[in-house]
Amino acid sequence: MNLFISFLQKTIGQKIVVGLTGLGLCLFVLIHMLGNLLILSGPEAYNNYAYKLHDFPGLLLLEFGLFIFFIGHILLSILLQLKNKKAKGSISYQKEAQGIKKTNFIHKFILSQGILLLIFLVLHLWSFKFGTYYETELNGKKVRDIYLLVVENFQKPLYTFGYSFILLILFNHLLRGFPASFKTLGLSHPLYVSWIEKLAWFFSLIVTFGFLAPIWYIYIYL
Amino acid sequence: MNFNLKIWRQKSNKVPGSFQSLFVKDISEDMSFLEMLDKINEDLILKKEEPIAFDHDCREGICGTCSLMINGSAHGPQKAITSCQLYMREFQNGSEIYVEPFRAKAFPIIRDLIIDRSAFDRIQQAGGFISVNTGSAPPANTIPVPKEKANQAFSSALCIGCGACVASCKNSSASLFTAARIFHFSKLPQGQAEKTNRVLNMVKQMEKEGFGACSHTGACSVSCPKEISLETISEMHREWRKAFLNKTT
Repeated sequence: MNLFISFLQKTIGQKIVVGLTGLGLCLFVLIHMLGNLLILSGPEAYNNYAYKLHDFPGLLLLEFGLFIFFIGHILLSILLQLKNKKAKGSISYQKEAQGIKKTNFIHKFILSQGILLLIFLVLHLWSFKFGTYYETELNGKKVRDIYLLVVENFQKPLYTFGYSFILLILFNHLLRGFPASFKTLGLSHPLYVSWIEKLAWFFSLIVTFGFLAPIWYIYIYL
Repeated sequence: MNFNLKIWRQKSNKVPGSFQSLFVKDISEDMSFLEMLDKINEDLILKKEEPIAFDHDCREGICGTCSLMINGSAHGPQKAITSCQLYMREFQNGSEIYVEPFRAKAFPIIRDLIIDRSAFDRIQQAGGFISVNTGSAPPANTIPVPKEKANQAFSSALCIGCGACVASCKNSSASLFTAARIFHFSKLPQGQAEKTNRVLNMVKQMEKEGFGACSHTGACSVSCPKEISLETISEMHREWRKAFLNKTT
């Protein structure tokens, strides 16, 4: 325990924890996206998946782990950002670098993106996990009709467009955070750094389109 | 060539600074940026005005003394050069040029464009050396070093400690400088024995000096006049993680 606290007191230690939790959350969004794709298979498949997931005995433990990952990632990122702001000082440069020394857009507003994603997360849980409880029958059992709630929400333009905007932010956050996590953990090497960058593009695109597909399917066809 | 310069003037770290507008004319396109500043200073002295204070020494890109933020870019818009190697022909005639010191909390301003980079010296003193007396240079190849390792060590040893990495980083992180100074030694056989303490002590000092954390944006590497690779930071993180766990368990 002392080792972990001592590790967390160091800037690189904090960065490593942000990277590790970030990669853990990448795995979570991938699994979440794969689950969401079941919406395309119809109400039975999606409700059955949701029922089995909620019936899983270790769910509470997994949810607690996920909560710790989110909290760790968010709090340490804010802490590091405050430290960075202090290091930068109060006066910024009059002009922004242009040409080859210009900062890539994906590196800007990373914390603002994270805060927007946090607000979205709260609203998302509010709308779905703690949203309206519809019931349906599945194999003779009364189960929650989460499919109906999802369809009901994503038929509204505000939800579909709002979620699409947030997913673009998620795309940027993943594209920038995924390779940075590897670099922070010291898992990047000149031999395969370009592959990590390519994997980041592939992963971010797959996750974003995987989330976008069901919501736009609902908005257009249902 | 004529330029409309906006130069940061500040008497000391205790008083606030501001931009001074200076219209300069008859600047040769073959003048370096520092030569242009010399010319301005000569004119200012003749007019009995305070000359612009700026750092300079070798004027051939190897000492790392000149440290100017030119139009928001450390050492100006070109890649792999220092401010002294920047020529006025790179700017458009009549353009506006902002000249500022490298800004970071750990680099307090001494006067105008001169900053105090002794934080870098203290990082170096924390472990950027081999503690045994190595004597005079031994004959070549007495200690065989694989070419790849020698190249990596040399790439890191190229660091001139100018501070462009800190200046261009949005977090004012000194990770590229520290990593380069660590790998200058740890890639070579002579640097192995003190590898663990070196990375721990130098990183500890870097934090103590108040530099920020690395976000791996790559701005440091792009601004580095010696093009030190961003990968050195990743390697430093890896070495630090191993050293921390070895030392504390």
